[in-house]
Order: sequence, then structure tokens, then C-alpha cells
Amino acid sequence: MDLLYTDIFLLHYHAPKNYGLHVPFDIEAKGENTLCGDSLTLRLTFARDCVQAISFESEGCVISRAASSLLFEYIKGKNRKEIKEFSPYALFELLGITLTAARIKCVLLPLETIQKGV
Amino acid sequence: MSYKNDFPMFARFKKEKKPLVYLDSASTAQMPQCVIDAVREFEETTRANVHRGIYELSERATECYEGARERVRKFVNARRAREIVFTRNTTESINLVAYSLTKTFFKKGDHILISRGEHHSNFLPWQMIAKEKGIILDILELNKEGEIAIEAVKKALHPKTRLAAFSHISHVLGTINPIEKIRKTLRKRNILFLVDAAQSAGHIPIDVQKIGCDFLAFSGHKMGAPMGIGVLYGREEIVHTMEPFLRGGGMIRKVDITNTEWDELPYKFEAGTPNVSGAIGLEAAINYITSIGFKEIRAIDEKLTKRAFAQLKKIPGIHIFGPEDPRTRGGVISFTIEGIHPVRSSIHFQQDSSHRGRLRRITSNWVHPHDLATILDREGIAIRAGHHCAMPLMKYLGVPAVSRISFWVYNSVSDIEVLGRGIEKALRILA
Ligand SMILES: Cc1ncc(COP(=O)(O)O)c(C=O)c1O
Repeated sequence: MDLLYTDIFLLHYHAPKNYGLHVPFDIEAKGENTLCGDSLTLRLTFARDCVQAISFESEGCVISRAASSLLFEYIKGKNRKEIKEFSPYALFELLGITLTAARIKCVLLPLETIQKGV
Repeated sequence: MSYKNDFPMFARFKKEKKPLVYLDSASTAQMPQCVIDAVREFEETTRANVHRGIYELSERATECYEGARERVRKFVNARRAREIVFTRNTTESINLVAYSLTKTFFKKGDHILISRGEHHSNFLPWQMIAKEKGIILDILELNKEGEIAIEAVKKALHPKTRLAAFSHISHVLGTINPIEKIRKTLRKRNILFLVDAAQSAGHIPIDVQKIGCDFLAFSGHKMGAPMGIGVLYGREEIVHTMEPFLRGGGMIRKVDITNTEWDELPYKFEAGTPNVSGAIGLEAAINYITSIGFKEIRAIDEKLTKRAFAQLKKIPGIHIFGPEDPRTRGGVISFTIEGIHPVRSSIHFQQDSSHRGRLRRITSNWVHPHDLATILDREGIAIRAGHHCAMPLMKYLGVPAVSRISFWVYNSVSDIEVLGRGIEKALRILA
């Protein structure tokens, strides 16, 4: 089933989880997709090796923001190794959407940004 | 009269049973059946290499190829067929000119003038030679209407400006630039003039003698011909002094180990086996276009532009770029839409001329053109969304991307209505 632009997906766009940057934080990471003007800032707090808190702000399309919301909520509690090893395919499965080639980069932005950060 | 039936694509492609509403002809136009037939006829009955074989088939292929060149000559009203060079596309035509002129024509410290509105194809070749050769690339800013104003051209010229390159019709703003007037200004100072006619060929008549340009480039695929065939018109007095761009077979008079004599025009610019069937297709496309007539094609573009403006203006939060008067623009319309329910309050996007050239912050609640295009695609509506290979222009408009619709002869008022309903649906989803 394709959840793209369905209610659940859009909810994560209009009311994204973990939106609004927190202080204090341990790590800040920024990502950018210059071709479509998407940008993302995220902040992480760790408890030992696991993500304890996460917050983000972004500009961009529905897909990139909803994907950020869904992914970051999922990532809470995971450790660095699990985050590093999380594959794009696992992400597509998590999101429940199919994308045309031109738009895959929209969902990869949050994944690449968090992997760069941890 | 509807021309849709001339194009097999509309009968063959369905998006989940929905008919195709194709609004991206500025990228690539669909191909009429007569062009497909002409290409096929050539491949089935006349295919052979050109200018080489002694046998009949090769001679016939050569005749067809040269016949296509003559047809293009007439289409753009060039004086001689040898002023017509077949290339792959507009991009290659402009690269050819830029590369070749650096060999013999440009000197360090020379200036080249282009506008902010140019497609990367009419930007990057000049940027490249500017860097390599120490040439200064001057960028002319557009006026409020998104036009290249004559007064601005006069101001932007430098005593050492040696070439100016502008688009005939803007592929983002749709503006028709006053190229004949620009030519007059340039001629007084002996400045070479290249016209990027990618968006005008197939939409408005082109007369290179009337324009008085030195070079003019266009792509077959934007006017109903196959992909991979394009044209460079080059005024003979200029091109006969130019060096070849590519080197290889079919372009020489004599080769020995250390020296080569180039063939005459236009062959010295057509190294290697050319796209003969593409040229045949281009000839057929020109025949198709002239059978409809520019008066009619122009009337369709104007009618649809007017209709599209009326439809789009009803959408709350829409911003349409470029002039509104359909008589002063081609059938290309770009726009952005502000969202209705912001996630959070933020700075609003406004077209604000006091901040030219500076990237303004985009409202976080705008409807991203990529989202719009994806949702419309599900309705069978093909529009273009993105930076349109014109990043310097996007920067000036203050957005990273826009949505664009564009027309050709197969489009109808009903396409615009379907688009209107599609956008409404998209906004219901996204708002
Ligand atoms: C104004 C303009 N110039 C150049 C080009 C490049 O054309 P092509 O990709 O056929 O070389 C385009 C195509 O989008 C265009 O619109």
C-alpha cells in the first residue's frame, strides 16, 4: 500500500513530531538539498550510546518533512550503530511509500543528515 | 480544430485510465504521427551513411539529409544551406560556438554579455571559456516584467564586449525578448549575437535575416522532431573563419600525418556520422508546423495562456511570474503557491524587487513545486517542477524551484480545466 499523501503521512507534515529545536543538546547536524531548496537541522541528546532526545526544523517539501518526522520518532532509543546501519530500504518500508527516482533524495535527506551526525 | 489526434501518445498513454494532460512541451514536445512515419520510412527504405558511399542507397540518404538541411534553411530563412549545421540539440550548438570562438576569436580581457534569465545551456559554456581564457562574463539583470530591456542592454555593454547571447523566449518567464531591437544596438558596436531559440522554434516564426543574428540555436525535440537532432545557424562570414568543434570522419578535405585541411561549411562542424534520421524527422516536423501555420499555433498559445492566467489567478496564494499580456509572451507559465495553513509563522515569500539577486527566505508553508507535480502526476497531468536549469534566475526570483506549465498545438482549454481541478485537489491534500 502506498501511503504517500495519505492522512497519516500528511499529519506528519502538518504536525511533525519532535519539531522545534531543543536546548541543550549534544550534537547538531545540518543537511541540505540545494537542487530543491530543502534544508534540515537536527539536534540529538544521547544517554550513553542511545538517542534520548531528538528535535528538528526543516524547510522543504511534504515528503522530506514527513519522512523526517517519521524517521526521527523511530530512531529515538536506538544506538549509534543501529542508526548508522539503517538502510534506505528500511526507511522506505518504515514510511510505506513508493517514490519516483527523482524524489528519492527527499527522503534520503533526513537519513543522511542523522547518519552524518551520529 | 483539434490537433491531439495527430499525436499517438495521447491514444497510447494512460495514467491509471486517466487521459494524459501533457503540459511540459517546453521540455520536450510530443511527436506527431507524420514525423514518426517519416523517420520509419527513411530507416526502412533509405538508411545508409551519407557523403561516403558510391552506391545508390548512400546517395539517396545523402540527398534526404541535404534535403532536410535545405528545409531548415527555408524555415529560418537563412541565405545559404551551408549556414545550417546539424547538432544534437541547443546545448551542443551553443557549446560549439563557445568552444570554437575561444580558439581564434576571443582574447583575454574581452567581455561576453548574457542575461540572468538564461538556461544553463546558454550560461555554462560561456562561464567555462570565461574561466579558461580570462574573459569577463557580464550578467544583465531583467526588468520587472522579466524582460531584457533595450536600455539595460545599452548600459551593460562594455567597450570590450565581443559577444552577447540571449534567449528568444524565456523558458521560465515566457517573455518574448525584443531581439531585433537588441541586434540593432549590438550591430552599432560590432558585437556578435547568439540567439537561443530553443523555446521559440515551433512557436513563432524565425527569420535569421530579419533578426540579423550571427548564430541561432534550437532543438528538434521541442518542436515535434526526434530527440538528438538540433540546429545551429551560423552566418557564413563568421563561421567560415571558425575552427571545428569536434574532429573525426566526414569533415576533412585532406589529412596527412601532421596537417589537415578542413572540409567546407557546414561539414567541418559535423564530424562523425550525423543523426540522419533525426534530420529527416526534423524536416517532417517543420512540414507539420508549416501545414498548421504560425498564425494558428500562435493563436493557440495565446488563447491557452490567457485561459491559464484566468484559471490560475483564482488560486489563493498563487504567484505567477512574468508578464500577463499573452501577446507579449510565449506559452510558458511559471508559478508558486503559498500554503494556507502554516506549520508555524514565518517570513512570507514575496516578489520584492528591492532584493534582486539575493536569496530570500522561503516561507515554510509554501506548496513545494515537487509536491504539486507529484500529486498532479497521479491525475495524469504532467507539469515541470524544479529549478529548470536556471539557478541564477531562481536566485533572482527568490525561490529554489517553481512549477511550470507549457503548451503546444495539442493542448486545449479542457487541459487547463483539468489542471485547475488538479491543483485544487492538491491544495486540499496539502493545505
Ligand atoms: C531556453 C532554453 N535553452 C536551451 C535549452 C536546452 O535544450 P536542449 O536540452 O535540447 O539542449 C532549453 C531546454 O530546456 C531551453 O528552454
